[in-house]
Amino acid sequence: MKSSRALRWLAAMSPEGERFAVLGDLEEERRLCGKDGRTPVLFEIWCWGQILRSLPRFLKNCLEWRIQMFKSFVKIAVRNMARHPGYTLINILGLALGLAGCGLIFLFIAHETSFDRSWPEADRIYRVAEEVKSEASTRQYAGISYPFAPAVKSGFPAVEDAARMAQLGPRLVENGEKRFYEEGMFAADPEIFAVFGFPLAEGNPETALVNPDAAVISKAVSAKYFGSEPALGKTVLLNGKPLQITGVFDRLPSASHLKISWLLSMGTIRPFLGREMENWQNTMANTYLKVRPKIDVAAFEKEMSGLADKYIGDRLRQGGQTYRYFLQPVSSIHLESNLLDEMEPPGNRTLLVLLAAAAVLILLIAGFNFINLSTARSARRAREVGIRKVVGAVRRHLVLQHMGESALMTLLAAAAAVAVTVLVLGAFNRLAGTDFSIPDLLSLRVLGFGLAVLALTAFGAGLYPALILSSFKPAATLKGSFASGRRGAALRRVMVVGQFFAAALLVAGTLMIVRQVDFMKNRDLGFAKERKFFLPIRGNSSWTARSEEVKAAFLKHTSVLGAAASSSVPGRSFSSFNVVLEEKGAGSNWSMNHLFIDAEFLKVYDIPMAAGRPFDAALAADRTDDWDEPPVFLVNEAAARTFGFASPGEAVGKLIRTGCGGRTGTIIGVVRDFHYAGLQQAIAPLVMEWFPEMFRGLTLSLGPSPIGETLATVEREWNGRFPGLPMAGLFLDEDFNRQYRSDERTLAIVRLFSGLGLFVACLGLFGLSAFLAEQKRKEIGIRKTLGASAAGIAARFSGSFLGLVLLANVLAVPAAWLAMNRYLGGFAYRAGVSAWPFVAAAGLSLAISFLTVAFQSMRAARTNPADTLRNE
Amino acid sequence: MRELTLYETIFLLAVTRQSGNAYGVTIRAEVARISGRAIPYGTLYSYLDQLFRKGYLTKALGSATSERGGRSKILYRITPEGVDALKEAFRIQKTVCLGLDQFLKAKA
Repeated sequence: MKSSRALRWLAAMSPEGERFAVLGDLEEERRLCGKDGRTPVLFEIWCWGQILRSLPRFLKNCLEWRIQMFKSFVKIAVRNMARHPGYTLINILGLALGLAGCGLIFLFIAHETSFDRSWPEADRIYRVAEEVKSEASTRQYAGISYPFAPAVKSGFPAVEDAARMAQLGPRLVENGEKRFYEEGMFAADPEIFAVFGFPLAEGNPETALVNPDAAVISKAVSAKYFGSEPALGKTVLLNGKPLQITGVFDRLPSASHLKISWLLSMGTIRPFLGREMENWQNTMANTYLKVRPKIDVAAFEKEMSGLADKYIGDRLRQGGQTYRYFLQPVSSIHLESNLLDEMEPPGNRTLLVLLAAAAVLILLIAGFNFINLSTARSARRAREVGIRKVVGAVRRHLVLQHMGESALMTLLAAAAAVAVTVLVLGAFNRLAGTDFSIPDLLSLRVLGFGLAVLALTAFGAGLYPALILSSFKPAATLKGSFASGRRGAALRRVMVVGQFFAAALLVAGTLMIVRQVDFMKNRDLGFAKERKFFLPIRGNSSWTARSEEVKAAFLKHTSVLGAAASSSVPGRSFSSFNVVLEEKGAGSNWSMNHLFIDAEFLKVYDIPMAAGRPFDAALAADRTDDWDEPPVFLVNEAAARTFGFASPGEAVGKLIRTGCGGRTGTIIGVVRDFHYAGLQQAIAPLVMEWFPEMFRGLTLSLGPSPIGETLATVEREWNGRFPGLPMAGLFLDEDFNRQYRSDERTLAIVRLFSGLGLFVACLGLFGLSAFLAEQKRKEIGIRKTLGASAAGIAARFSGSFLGLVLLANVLAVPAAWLAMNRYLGGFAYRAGVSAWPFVAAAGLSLAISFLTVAFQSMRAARTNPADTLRNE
Repeated sequence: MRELTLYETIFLLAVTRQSGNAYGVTIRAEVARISGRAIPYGTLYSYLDQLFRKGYLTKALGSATSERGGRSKILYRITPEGVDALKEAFRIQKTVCLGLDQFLKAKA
């Protein structure tokens, strides 16, 4: 008869030789049941009961043997590690550093890709950006016009809420004795709270931003001005005007393109905006929408893209322009959007790609180390494998055993990696400009990633050695004629090449970034940036009328060689307005940066003229004193080219109209191009006007006297001139190089990880050469007795390794070249790819690996041959 | 020689009491009678196997009958070592129990 499942299971729980007897017994029991009148169903239930009751002892029995085997494996593994502490250390250290590096890179990438994802319902928040197309140019702006938000809210049911935000420059805030220039200031609509869904800790989000002269501040700002007292309802002075605090919010997500400290009500800035609030053609308001759930976003975007045509269609057609609006998911802004007027410099996608590649390379290097050292050591394990096979181990068990060992090793390395990560987290934060804390390491994402990498490493690095080790023929290994270490020698060479290929890639890449950053910092910018001290003057608007007097006051000190007033300075942001070349008519229309300077500016900055004449202090007509007076302009060569003039001279005498007040004036001169923005960007067209009302600061050219004394003099003068205003001067060269901070950060991070990669690779080479040197002890001994010199032996021994390293470097050249071309593509002015980074990278890795190998081979070559040969 | 556990003693005892017909069903019934606990079939043979490996029992294939679905029995028999072990266990138990009934009676 066919036995039921319960019967079969019961039998299977008994030792193998007794199974048939169990079945027989059960058959007997069944018949006994039958006599008792029990039905087959009851018997079945009884059988299941038997199974359940047998389970505890059954499980204990089978686990016991598994645990015994496991203990044996662990013991052997630990003994092996303890017997060769050097290899173990190298293996674990290499893996640990690799894993820690990978972990940090993952943290960084996870942070960069998490931007603006933590707002509630972030998938429904969009920013509206615009594309302005004219015959001459196509430009995309992150900001759009003020009237758009109300228009889209009332015209489209898909929009749940719309809010505008305008970024404001630093302003002076006073609360009694506490006076600071505040950054992170925005003017915003009350709907901002609904769109981004952030709550107020104090105050009512419905009403907080409705009235003029009201502001909502962050907890940090509140603590700065009011300490532990509640800020709500208090009043501070903003540029001298009272401002009421109507709300306080908690810390906002730091991973966001919005770094908000102050939110002013729109009414607060309305007096300064005037008619701009109704102007469809400016780009001042960053506009955010929350769309309704489950709408067709693409269809909505298409519908609203031409909204400007409805309101100013005629004017746009006349000017030959089209305005197209488009949506950007708020979470994509940080990494994917790099439009004009972004609120903060966008994230660096290239850096993330570079880092991800570095992480993979480092992990590969560490994994290769592990594989190399394990297979090289295989001879030592051969006997153990042989014995195990003789006493009946099957291959599957041996593979499992060695995989288990690599898992154990990886686990130890992981523990070390966690320790390393925790130790260097602070330093890494400073380097990468992040603020990770230890709890961040425990997030689900990080843990998941960690486990995945561990599993991958343990499996990837353990599989090959396990297969090699378990394949040994017991007879061969036990007879003692086993060719030790020959196994996988070819693969080992390939892996050494692979490791140094990766290391060379990292090092050459780093050196190229070094070159580019050096290039940008040291290139002649077209103006003198040394010993220029820029004093922004904020919170006092009346000084512009007296700017000549203020300049003279500073100039009377002998340590101040020159003084110039201007609206901005190189390295800082410039305002941009539309410019029309009158002879080409309204169809020609470019957005150009404007700089307002006095007659001294070009002299102080040492900017030469390309054609025409500079502003003349003696000519009152060069200066614009009010909005109705006809202005005169200087432009740079880039602007002259943009206007379509073949030589700068042709631009002189032409009439242009600027969107700044809609005024028309003559170009009296063209200045040489100078880099007023970082070298990432090409020099953009620039229009200059002598218009004191727009001045926002003073540049002092300082003499060679000691800088400390000079600054003290300047500060005394400042305090006399502007009592109550803190002096916030900055050195132009330092401030200008601030634009390269993100590149320097890239450099610092990449340098760290390429150093790490090279170190781990050398660690592996060190272990490998130590092992091979030990293996060739006898060969070396014989060579020495036959008269070879120590140096000769060392050279012979190092040669084979150095050949591999050299080959790796040669192979790395094209790959590094391709990668770097891509990276450098992001810069308008490039250092150019030259040969020396490759040569230097090759030199560096050759030198380090030579030292590594030479150390080992010299040690081997120095030993007395009698010691190595006598026990033969 | 290691002392027998209580269950080992009961199993050996159960085998000796079957006079030549000691196999799964009968041993299990006897153990249940002595200890008051029915051993499930899933673990019955692992107990017997343990005693066999210690050398206290021998195994022999018995006859296959139709009421067993054509499957043979495994017949267990006690070895001299098993007898020694039982003796030892008996001695210990006797010593342990010496005077115990009086004591318990006095308590009751």
